[in-house]
Amino acid sequence: MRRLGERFTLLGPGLAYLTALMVVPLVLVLSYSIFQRGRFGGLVHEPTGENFARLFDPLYLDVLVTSVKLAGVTTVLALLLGYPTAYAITKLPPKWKTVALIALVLPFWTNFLIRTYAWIVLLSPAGLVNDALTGWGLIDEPLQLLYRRPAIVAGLLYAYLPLMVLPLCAALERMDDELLEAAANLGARPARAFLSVTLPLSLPAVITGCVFVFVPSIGNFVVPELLGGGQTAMVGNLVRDQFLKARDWPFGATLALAVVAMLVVLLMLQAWSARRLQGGRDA
Amino acid sequence: MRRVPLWLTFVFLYVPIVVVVVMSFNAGDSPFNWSGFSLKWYGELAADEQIRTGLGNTLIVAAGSTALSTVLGTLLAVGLARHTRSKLLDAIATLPVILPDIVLAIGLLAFYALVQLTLGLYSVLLAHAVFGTAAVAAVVRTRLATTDPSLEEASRDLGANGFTTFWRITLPSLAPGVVAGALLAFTLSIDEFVIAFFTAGPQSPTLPIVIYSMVRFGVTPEINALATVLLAVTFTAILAVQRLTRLAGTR
Amino acid sequence: MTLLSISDVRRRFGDVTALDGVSLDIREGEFFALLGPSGCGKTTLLRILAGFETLDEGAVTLAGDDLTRVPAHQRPINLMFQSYALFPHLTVAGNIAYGLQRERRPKTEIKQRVDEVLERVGLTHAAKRRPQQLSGGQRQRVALARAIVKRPRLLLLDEPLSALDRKVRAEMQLWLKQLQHEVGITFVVVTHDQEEAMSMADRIAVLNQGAVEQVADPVTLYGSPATHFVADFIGANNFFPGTAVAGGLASTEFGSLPARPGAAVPGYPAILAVRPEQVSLSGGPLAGRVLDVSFYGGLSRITVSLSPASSAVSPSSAVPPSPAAPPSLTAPLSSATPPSSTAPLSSATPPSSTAPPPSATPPSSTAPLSPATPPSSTAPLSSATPPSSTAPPSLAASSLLNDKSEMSLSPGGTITVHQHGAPRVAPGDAVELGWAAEDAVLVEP
Repeated sequence: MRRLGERFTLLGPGLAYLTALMVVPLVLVLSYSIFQRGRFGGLVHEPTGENFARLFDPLYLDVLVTSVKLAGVTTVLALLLGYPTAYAITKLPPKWKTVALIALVLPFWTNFLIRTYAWIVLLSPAGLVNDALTGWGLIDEPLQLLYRRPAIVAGLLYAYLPLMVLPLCAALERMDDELLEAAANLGARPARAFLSVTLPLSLPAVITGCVFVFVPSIGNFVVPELLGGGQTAMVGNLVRDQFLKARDWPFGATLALAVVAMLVVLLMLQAWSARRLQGGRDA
Repeated sequence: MRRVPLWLTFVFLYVPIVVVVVMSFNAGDSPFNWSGFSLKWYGELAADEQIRTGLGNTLIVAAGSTALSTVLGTLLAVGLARHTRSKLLDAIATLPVILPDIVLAIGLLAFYALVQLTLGLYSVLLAHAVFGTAAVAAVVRTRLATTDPSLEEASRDLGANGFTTFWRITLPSLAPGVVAGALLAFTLSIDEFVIAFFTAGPQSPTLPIVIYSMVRFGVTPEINALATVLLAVTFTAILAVQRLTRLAGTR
Repeated sequence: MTLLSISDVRRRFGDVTALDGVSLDIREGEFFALLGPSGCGKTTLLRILAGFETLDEGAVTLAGDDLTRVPAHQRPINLMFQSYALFPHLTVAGNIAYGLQRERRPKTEIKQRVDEVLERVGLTHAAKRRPQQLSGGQRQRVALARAIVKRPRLLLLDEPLSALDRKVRAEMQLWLKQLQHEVGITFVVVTHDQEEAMSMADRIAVLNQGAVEQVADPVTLYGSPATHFVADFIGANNFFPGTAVAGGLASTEFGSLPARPGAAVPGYPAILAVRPEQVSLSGGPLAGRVLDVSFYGGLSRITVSLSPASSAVSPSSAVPPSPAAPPSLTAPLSSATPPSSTAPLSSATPPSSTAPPPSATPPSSTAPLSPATPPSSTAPLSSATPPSSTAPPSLAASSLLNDKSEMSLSPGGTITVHQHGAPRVAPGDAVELGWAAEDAVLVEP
């Protein structure tokens, strides 16, 4: 009995809090998605599938597809830059490894809006990038870099790149060097050993990194607004507008659920890849 | 050759920051064209009423939510580590970390509407304590994994009750983890924009909300000055935490 | 025919010399063992052979070709890792096929060879499982299959049995030896476990501090160790320091002790090594008192506290006790100062206390050493001595034999005796003990 009381004292407050302010709100979002919007922005408690049907309205479908594309490109770029970076970090001498890891997360801990602002400064017609390009004689006229899709990708990549590198670093650090020696011993050249051993073994971390980059990217509304100039809306912008402007909460909730659905699919993929390596039942 | 991507990454990460910091000392009105050194934007910043209000609000929210998160998160971590094996409870405690912020934001907005809570500063504070609790719990749990549960058993064996054991044995051994978790919750709260944007009352913007509206209305070196100050504060704090945890680790 | 030739290989890591001029010739088709304690350099040598480590000096050739210039992935040498290093993301069959795929063999050939080797190691049923789903013994067989399927010229095995529990070990030991016979590949086992090396290898090289102490077959290594290190490292042994003389050892404390000369040169310091099972308790030049008796099933271990020769000699002897000798007759000889082996053998030479130099002393192992000695110390050995004096240690007794705690070089007082079956003495009994000259050997200090 004493143990039970203790358990309640320890777990009770935190779980009650998270239930009230996270689980209940999520259930609310879920329930909103099956209700209709009332005439004055209120809620009509009649179940409907209309919100989900609207997701396939070309207008919104286009936004969803664009969002997936932009977040996808960001994720791929983060992987292409992040994997070799993580690999290089794990090969550093221990002292420099710590320095590199701190240097990697430092910008991540600075205000997200400030980091996005920095890219406005960089990409403006009078900004550093255009200055450099004209200075080197590569272009005559400043390019319109800002308020284009690549600017959004740059901003998202800048915001979330460390989230790709960190899990990869952890996985590559844990990698058993003997497996690479075994590969060499069995006749694999270093490149082949990397492709056939290191890469597949780091797959769960690759997927984790992709989840960490893709999910916040697709839900982001600040970067598309500030760097995309509001011309390219992403799902995040739609959700915000449905809640704060159009007052169509049911549809906004449905859009948010689409994001959650993508998260769930990716998490399942991650769990599957990790389980595959552990071989299911452990001996 | 192998380190090329490393340098690319660091150039990519630090060039924007360096540009922002350098331009904060610009004498001209543009954050793009250098026209001499000046500290005038720092003066403007200090005199900016909006920013001061935002900063004050942010500190209140961060301090309050950190206090709440630290208590809830520490208890939760000990409870999860020592008293249950439930996967569901684990999931609830880690969900705030992986959930997209906008989903939590609209959920909380809907929840506040449902319970008819007027949006203000406390609504942000309560919202921030959600991910703060999860963050503290996560950090304390990693610390718990390295402490020896037999210490607690020894304490009970010597006649201490559950409360005394927690207060005299468990908590002191967790102290570095609790401090690190609290610092993490504080930093997350200070930087948090999306949830605050949805749950703050119109009269109580936090600093990120102020920055957001400033950036939307156009770029001025005053933002650069603000960015530089924030950068300096976070960099110092992070390096201090790093030192602290290393000291705690060696002890 | 020599397959692998290692000549004068040296390797340093900073201040540590891992290999200090190692030379070895390993013959085609033999089962060779590199034996030594941790830190002796055997792992470095293995890694040099596999190509994971470079050497500072020396040469390694395989069938006459310089091996040091060949990168690891092109060497016709395969390694079974101590940790097995199985790829967790591949199935058992995938792990085994890996090396053949690197050779770009046709798919049908790969499948056929994988199936063949799976059958040989008895894991056909587990082909589609992952390494994590197998037991330790099964994993080891996969690791072995993965290495032999490549048909290497040389197979290296790094501590092959260390991760297995005792029962599986015995099986694997036998099985490995059979397998080597069947596949005809040259095996080189690296191990710190003397039992593992002794039971499997045709020849063993004992390494110590980066140098080879002795290379020999197990029987020779056990019966005729060349150095004190080898005698101490392999099996249990009793040691007596002294000076080599014709027919045995002259010890300051215990007088003349019979032994084969071994590698010792008369007149020089040497150590007499005698196996516990060679010591007979039914008479001999030494006297003592039983301290402890432990029974291990088929074997009894008896610890005897030795009395110095001067005390063993009749009390009326005019010879004064040597300064190192303890006053008490029954107390263990705890004397911490080993007597100088070049000191005159005062206590050991009954006729005169002003003895001539050691080389001039003609101690005969057949001469009566003291009144207490039976007519001849080469008299038939007691039934307690096993028939074969050079038999490798049996598995049952291995825990006993590996116990090095009793072994000390000091004249310090105790000797360990093994008797077959139940003990026939009890603590406190006064005993006389000795051994035949051919059952003890002199080794280099």
